[in-house]
Amino acid sequence: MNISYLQLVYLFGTIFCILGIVLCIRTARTRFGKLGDAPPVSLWITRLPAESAAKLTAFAALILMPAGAIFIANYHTFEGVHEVSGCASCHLMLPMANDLQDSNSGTLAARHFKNKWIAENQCYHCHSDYGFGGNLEAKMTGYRHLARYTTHTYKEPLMARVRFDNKNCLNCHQGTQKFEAVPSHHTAWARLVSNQMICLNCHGQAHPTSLQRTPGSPDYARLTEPLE
Amino acid sequence: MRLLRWESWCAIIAFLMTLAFVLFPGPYEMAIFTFLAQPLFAIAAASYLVKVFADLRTRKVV
Amino acid sequence: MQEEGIDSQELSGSSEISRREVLVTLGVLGGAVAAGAAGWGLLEAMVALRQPVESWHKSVCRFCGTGCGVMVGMKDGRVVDVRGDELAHNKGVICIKGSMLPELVRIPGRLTYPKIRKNGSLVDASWDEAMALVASKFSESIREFGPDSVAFYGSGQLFTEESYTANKLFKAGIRTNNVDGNPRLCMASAASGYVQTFGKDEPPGCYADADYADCFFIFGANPYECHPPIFERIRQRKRLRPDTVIICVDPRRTMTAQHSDIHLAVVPGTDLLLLNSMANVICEEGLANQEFIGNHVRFSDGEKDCDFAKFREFLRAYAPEKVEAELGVSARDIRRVAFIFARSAATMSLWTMGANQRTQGTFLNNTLNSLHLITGQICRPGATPFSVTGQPNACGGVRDTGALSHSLPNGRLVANPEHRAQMEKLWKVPEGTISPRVGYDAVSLFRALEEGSVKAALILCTNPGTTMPAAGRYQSAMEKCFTVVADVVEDSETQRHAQVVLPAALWIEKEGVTGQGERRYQLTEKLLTPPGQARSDLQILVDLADRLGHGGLITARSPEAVWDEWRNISASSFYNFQGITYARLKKERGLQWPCPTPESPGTARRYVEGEDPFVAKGAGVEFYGNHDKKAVVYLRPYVPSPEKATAEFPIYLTTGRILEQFHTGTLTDRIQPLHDAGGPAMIHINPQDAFVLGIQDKDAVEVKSKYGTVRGEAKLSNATRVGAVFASFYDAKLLINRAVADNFDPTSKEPEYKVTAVSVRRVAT
Repeated sequence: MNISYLQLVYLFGTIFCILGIVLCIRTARTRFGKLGDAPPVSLWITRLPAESAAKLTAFAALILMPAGAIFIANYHTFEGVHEVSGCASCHLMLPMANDLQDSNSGTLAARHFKNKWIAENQCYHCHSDYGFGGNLEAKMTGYRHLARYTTHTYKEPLMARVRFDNKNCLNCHQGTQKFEAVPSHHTAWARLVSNQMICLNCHGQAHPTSLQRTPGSPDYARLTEPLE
Repeated sequence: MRLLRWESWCAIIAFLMTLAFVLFPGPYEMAIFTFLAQPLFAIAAASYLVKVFADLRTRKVV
Repeated sequence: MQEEGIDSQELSGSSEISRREVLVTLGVLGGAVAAGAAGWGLLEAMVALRQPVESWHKSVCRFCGTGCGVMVGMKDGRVVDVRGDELAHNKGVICIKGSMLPELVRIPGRLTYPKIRKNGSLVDASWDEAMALVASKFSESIREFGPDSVAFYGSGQLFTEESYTANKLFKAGIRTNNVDGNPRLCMASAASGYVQTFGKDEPPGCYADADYADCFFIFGANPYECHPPIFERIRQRKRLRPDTVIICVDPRRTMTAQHSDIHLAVVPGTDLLLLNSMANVICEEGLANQEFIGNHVRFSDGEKDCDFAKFREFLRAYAPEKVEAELGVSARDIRRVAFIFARSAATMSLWTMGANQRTQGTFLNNTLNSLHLITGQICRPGATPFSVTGQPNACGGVRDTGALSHSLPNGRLVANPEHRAQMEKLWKVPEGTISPRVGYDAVSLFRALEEGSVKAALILCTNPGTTMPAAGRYQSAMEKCFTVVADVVEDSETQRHAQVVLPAALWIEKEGVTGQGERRYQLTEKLLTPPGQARSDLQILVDLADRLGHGGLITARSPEAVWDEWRNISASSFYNFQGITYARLKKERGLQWPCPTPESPGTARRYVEGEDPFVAKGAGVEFYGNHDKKAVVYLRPYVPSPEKATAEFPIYLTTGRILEQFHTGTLTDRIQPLHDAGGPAMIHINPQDAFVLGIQDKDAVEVKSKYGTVRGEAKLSNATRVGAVFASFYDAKLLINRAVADNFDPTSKEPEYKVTAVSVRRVAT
């Protein structure tokens, strides 16, 4: 049986949170220092003094369960960004998502989707810095985007500020016959791997232009239709 | 005394935010978890550790 | 578990304690919000601090005639990044050369001081000293031998304001029409072709036509390497519409040919046979659009008008079966290509030097235009005859300003007294100021230097020492005259023969407008200070004007002032771009003329009602450049090149560019990744020919023609046609133009770089 990450997250996330809440309620009501008279607590195979049990409960409630919940929730974040629907849950990304699936579009994203060069999680394959394995800069950028989006302190059209990591292209294209046949790929290699020169310069736009993504432009309505 | 009242209440609020994000993922839930729940957990945990440390000192363990 | 630890009394305990705890909790919540906000603030600060680029500036690529819009990223006063401008016509696509623009402004060997040749060597001098010498030599020559003893040789890489000022200074100030430039070597045939056909110069269509064409007819052009963003656009069209047909006519199996559906490897110099043969098929097979012809076309044999019947009769000599042997393309293929050309929903032709750099360049251009006219493949999205421009500012800077020896601004001609009178009025100079004598075109100019009739020449932003055909001859010619060269780098071939060398500003070290291949004028803003003592070419010209006593004529002295003067002058012509103000240029991604008013959006397709402001309402399509508002189809006979293969010179030499290098490499060859990618220039030879000649890969070979000899390294390549060799001209160690013939088109005066009869032999190293 194939258990998806989502089911694991739901399961363990709920467990940690509910358990955490229960343990926190207990901890909140515990009068430390006045437990001396309380009878010991039996914990399956052992018996603990009430004071110790209460302290363990507090530890679990305020350290262990939060750690678990934080881990699960962050795992949820970094895995959730893999899916196209995850990215598209922010309406600002709808132009990218809609264009991706538009067979009449000539953008790099659309071409990779149409030709099935990337079978699934198409956004993530080129923006893998957002996931667990990506670089710190991309993560910081991701959280910054989240803060801006949810507080509505963004300006449309969105303009990327951080340099795109060419490794996202090179991971697939490097080493192929077509790639190796181009002399500049070798002579300008240092510039490519250090991201001084972006692959898109020669190979075209990845996504709709900023003009198309500007509210009021002729394409805006079509590009921001909710995904099916 | 109830030593860990507000720490527990804050942790409960943080758990509720986290649970909401886990069950209903979305940008707003993610933001609330990232920017509110996590600091809440951190503050509660920090205060708890300070109190544990103080308690250990009075008992001359540390 | 028992619950004695919980004091049930405290559950209903005093509200003071509960309220305090609630307040603490709320306070902590507030603290968490503050912490979250602080975290966000930290993220913002870190992202802001790690920005590799401080500010982005809209600009234009320095290199080819595609004229791509670029965004220049600056930090701490340095260029740190260049990207394609996604909002410009090129949609964010540039090529490897454009990607290396950050390195361009750092190339080694920049000229930083004026130099004067003393005792055989160039020594540093001050601007005053150098310009005083230049002015005195020019004045002396003018005084003793007349204004026609001096000349200006300019460039399609100068800004429009610079070419315009030079043209005005020399024609209306000094009063000589010896104003020419390197566009003569590349676009003159295209200009004469368009003018003869449509009455006006410049392509009627635009790059966006590539988004609508169903058939691309690429003739004598290698856009994959020489105009990459244009070819990428063609490929995009094909990706989105796989039935699109790409036809490539080229003796070589270039990268473009390899990515085309049909490649016709014609014998060098014979391709007018193909065009006339296609026209024959179109006329004979009922593929001509008689309605369009009836409404919009006139026929001419070059001297007098005739009709479709005469045209058809003329073409009978070019039936496919009659030409296939000489042409090197089968009759079947000719018919196939003619059919596709005529019957596609929209056909776009693209051509460059293969058609232009020919003794029949004008005829080839006429006939390419004619194919579109007789099939009605014109003036619709995707249907257009598009002559692709080589240099970034040959169109706007030289053709439109009339900075050539036979022309005056906005399509006027030196030889036409009415046109001279109009320009005298516009330039506010006395009647009769402009000389009626057509000046020296490029080849004639260098011959005049050779024979001594031109004694002083100012050469700006070009390298004729490398680019002139029969280069050896004309290098020596430069030494016989007082040659003044302004350039950005030291030690070009041209400077070796100059008496004064002036340091010039490069690209974003100065400000000005360029007009690229689709009639789009774009602004390059100044973002850097030129190194050392380098100055803009405009400053050099203004200084010279002052010293020659023409300061009162050259009143516009800043780029914007010159631009304003020039755009207002254009208002009295069909090249009207008065509406393209500097303010609009700063804001827009360029504008295409005609653009008569500040409200005009510019003109994507000329001669089309609704798009071109000069087309009368209800006219639909109108070729208003000619008196009868019709375009002219010419009966153009094929005449073989004077360079025919002989026993002594059995192979054809053709030259061209490669992707990573621009022109003579004075700029691109100094950028390491481009230098390495291009490698040293070599003589490309087909393995069959090499076998017969006993030549192996990397052997030292000698290419010899009637005009000169060049030695280089052989590269065996299946891309090269049997019976032909190819070399590019970017490498100072392989001056291939020494061997190239200096025959030229009698109308356009453009030299025939594409066809030279040579011999190739192996030499001992």
